[in-house]
Amino acid sequence: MHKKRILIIEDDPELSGEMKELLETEGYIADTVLRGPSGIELLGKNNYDIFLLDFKMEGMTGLEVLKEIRKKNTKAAVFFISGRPELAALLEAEHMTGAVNGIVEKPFDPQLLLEKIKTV
Amino acid sequence: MNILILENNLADAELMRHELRKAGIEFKVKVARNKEEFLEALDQFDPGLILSDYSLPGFNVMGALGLARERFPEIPVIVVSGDIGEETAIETLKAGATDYVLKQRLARLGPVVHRALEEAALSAEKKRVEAALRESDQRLHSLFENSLDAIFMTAPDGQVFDVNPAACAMFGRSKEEFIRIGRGAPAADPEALAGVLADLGRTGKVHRELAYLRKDGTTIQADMTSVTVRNAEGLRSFVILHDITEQKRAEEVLKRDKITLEKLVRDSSRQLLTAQAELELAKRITDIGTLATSVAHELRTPLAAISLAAANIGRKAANPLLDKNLSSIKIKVAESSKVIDNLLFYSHLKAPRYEKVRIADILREAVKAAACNRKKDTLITTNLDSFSAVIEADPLQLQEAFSNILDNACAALSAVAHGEIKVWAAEDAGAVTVLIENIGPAIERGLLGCIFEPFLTTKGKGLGLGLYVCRQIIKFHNGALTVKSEPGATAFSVTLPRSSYNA
Repeated sequence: MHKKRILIIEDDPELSGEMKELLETEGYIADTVLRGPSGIELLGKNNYDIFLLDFKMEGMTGLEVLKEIRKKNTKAAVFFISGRPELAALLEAEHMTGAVNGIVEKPFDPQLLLEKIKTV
Repeated sequence: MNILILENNLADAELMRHELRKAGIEFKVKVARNKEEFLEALDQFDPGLILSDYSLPGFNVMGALGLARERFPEIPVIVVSGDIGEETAIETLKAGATDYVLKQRLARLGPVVHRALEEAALSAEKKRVEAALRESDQRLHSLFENSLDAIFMTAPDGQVFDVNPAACAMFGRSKEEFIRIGRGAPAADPEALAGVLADLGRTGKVHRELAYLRKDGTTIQADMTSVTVRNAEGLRSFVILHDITEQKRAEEVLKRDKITLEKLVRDSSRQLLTAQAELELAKRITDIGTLATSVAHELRTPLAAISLAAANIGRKAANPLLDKNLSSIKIKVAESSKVIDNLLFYSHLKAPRYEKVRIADILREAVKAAACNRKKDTLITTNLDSFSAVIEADPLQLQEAFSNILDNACAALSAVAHGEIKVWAAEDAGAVTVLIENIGPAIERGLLGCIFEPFLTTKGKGLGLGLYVCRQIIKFHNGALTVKSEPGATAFSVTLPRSSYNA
């Protein structure tokens, strides 16, 4: 079984660094980018199984990134890692609820994140 | 003075002229010798006096008198003639001649002319005065008859002699009735009328507002002017009443309207102030909502990084000595996260989502949650086992409210040994009431009035939104949250209608 590849798109470098470390300790391959467009760029190069998306980012929101991901890669799992309480309502309004596999609310228990990812 | 002499004997005419001059009369003379000349002079000479011979060829004084009287009745005509006999002379006087002078006694002419002129002047003056009087009388009569104001003519004691049609219309009585009754316009207040009559007797003129009674008993407000004058018949009073009933009524209505308006303005201002205060509070809460949302995001990301970093340290170090520190980080992250959650919950309170809820179940949940926060020796007693009321409410919001009140009760007893909290529910036809009482110290008097204000806290910790949110929640449910605090016991009472959204 090949190692699952994860792309973390999160504009907080410390948080994405800690997430990368956690995930790699658990045997995943994890890449991090701080901006949506860089993530879109990587998406064309590597075949990702899982995306972890921040919602509020400079330049391109998580929602816009999600739409790009779904244009190119429909099979990958996408989780929002977000601190915004209104995100679920926002996704519903955009009819994108079905396009994500889950929302992990910040701050999160590391175990919870790993459990969600294991379901993929 | 122009004097026309009808005389065909010019010598006689000259004699007359001589006599007139002698009498000191200033005059111009025209002599007419026949009817034609007489008529022409009558028209063009503008005579003030006519001296006429009794008889002329083809004309005589009777004819002259006829013509003169017909055209200018005021011009005195004096017959100057030879002896015509007493009877004829009297006839001329009857026909309008002013006097008669014999040519043989022409010296009388001067005094006779003087007297005739004086009489004529007097007569003219009398006629002028009579005409003026007649005109004045007509004017007065017309005024009296057509005036829209009521006019009474009375004796000083009020006895009516005459009233005008306006008075009859105003009082609904005929002139005969007024005269028969004797007294003038019937005043609503006899004492006020007596005062008017007394003043009138003293000063002769009174002007004031008085109320009168119509025949049908209704009241007339009138602006009354009364003057007393003395005329040939003695003292007479004229009373003029100007009806100001409508004007008074309008003034009254206006006054009432003004009072109503003032009250409305006062009420509206008060409502406006209240609304403004509520709006300001709402805006503050909205601003806090917006702030809370962005603060939540900004804090949750670093909290997530902190908690992950701690977890990663734990994995790498695998050192039991670090566990306590890592656990502290985990707890504090959880606490911080809870503060953010609370802030978000409080600042985003929305309309309740109603469903049928068993109030005892919600209270039991709240009691269970509070049990974690209380001191070990604090006892919570309830009567919920026998309470089965079901109401329509938002279960999450109600639980939040009850938990909050219970948390406060626990906190109040934190320094009390063996404290007790009673949760007592009761119901009647339309509502349920939950009493949450702690047996402990009273809330400070000064605080009691403002414990439901937002951002008020005595705990030195927390946002001070708890009771404010409780009251909001209960208010949303059309209920009431009140507090009573005395040394020994503080009780919060929550009353909720069975069906909130119908209330």
